[in-house]
Amino acid sequence: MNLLSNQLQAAGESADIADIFAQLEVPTITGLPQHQGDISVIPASMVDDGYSRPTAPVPAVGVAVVQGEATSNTHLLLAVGPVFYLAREFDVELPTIGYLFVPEGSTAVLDHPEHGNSGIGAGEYVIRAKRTQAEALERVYD
Amino acid sequence: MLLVAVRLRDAVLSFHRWSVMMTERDTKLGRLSEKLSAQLEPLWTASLNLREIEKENPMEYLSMKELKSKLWKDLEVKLTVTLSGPFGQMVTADLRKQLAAANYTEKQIEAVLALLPSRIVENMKNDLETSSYSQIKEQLRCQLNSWSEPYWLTLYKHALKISGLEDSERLNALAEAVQANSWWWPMEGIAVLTERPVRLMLDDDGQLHAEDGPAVAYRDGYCGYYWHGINVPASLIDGWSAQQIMQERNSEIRRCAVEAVAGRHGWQYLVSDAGWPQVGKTVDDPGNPGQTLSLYRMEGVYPEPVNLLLMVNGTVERDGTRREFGETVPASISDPVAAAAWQIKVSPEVYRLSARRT
Repeated sequence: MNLLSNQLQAAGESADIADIFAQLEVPTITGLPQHQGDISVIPASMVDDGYSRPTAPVPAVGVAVVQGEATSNTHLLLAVGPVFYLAREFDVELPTIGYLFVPEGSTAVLDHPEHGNSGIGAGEYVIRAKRTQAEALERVYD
Repeated sequence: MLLVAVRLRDAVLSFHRWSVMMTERDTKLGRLSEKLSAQLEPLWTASLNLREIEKENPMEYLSMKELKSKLWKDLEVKLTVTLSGPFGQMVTADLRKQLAAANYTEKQIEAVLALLPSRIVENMKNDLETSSYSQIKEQLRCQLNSWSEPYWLTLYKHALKISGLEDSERLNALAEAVQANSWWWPMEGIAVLTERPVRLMLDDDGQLHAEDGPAVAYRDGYCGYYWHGINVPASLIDGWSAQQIMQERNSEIRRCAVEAVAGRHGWQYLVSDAGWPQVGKTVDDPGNPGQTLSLYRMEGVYPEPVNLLLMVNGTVERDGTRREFGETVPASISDPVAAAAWQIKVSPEVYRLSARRT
């Protein structure tokens, strides 16, 4: 699996993320819902979230949108160009786990060891996890 | 030298995180009380000493008594601070939700939470001072836990080595003991030892879990079968029939059994063995060429019926099977796309716009 995160690590200090990203040809979706494993990226305009643009920039090392204990289920958000993210607390009634803002010219990339890379083009998005009906409503983990 | 120390520290800290994670598996409050147990040390020592001192030196006894109540007070203050911090917020979040659901007002909730530190301290005091079982338990509480202490033993051993200082015999002896033993209780004049298991299988969350045999096994044959942290009968791992599943009275175990069969034989197998009827039609998964969605009415697993949303991959794996995923949704949903949309709480129309799924 040719992951952006692996390529960045291999390139080390001198990594040029824009360069590596361009070479990898990561499929990028703009303005439409897309899904990676147990999380979904939905344009904010398509849901009723009370979305507001996050202001915290995603650092070079990325942000774990979902943090697996043994990293085998970590969905890592990486930024090609400035990208902004705010984590939200999952609730079975509102399964949003983050607000994402990708300005024009930037791309956000979701990186996962099993599911690969997914590119997110410019726009405002919410990131949601899945819920399931067991004895009560619960969160789904990959 | 500093750089090496920092790197070593980072490596050891992440190992520490891992080893702490390995031993912590209970509720958030359980974690809180483990944190607090460390605070109990001076109190326990003070408490033990008091009995001796009371007999021999009444004056000293009185000042020790003052010290003891000061220590309890300190603990209460520490607790209050911890509970108001981010860790405490996390721990009390569930409690807040429950109180809110029981129609407590904001003010009443704050009042209850404000009492928590003193309540917890009161409980601990009672446990320590009145119950002799608690006293014995405290004495036996493992000081040199072979599962979570090695990190600092490693740190110091290596720190001595790279700084060119002499080995510490006592440190080496401890390290050796911790490597050889599993849970052990060294006391004065006696030590109770147990062996490490010959097999120990964990899942990604650090819970006991194994799909091909016992998750934990010892040399003498004693073993346990676990599914994601839940103790299950051995036969469950091999895959129960639908009938066996329905007959199981424990709902947690039923759920494990369902997952185990689905993992080993596939969801389609289980669905047809159980005779769960299909609800609606099989449709294509939007944005995911080759994958289909279908819905089945699942009864007898949870107290109420639910619908099982099955996602079947289009591509055939090397062993001839197709990857399947099954997740349950409320029984009131009768359309597979609506079910997938429900999972992320969007409208089916929005879900139909999905452009890609990996």
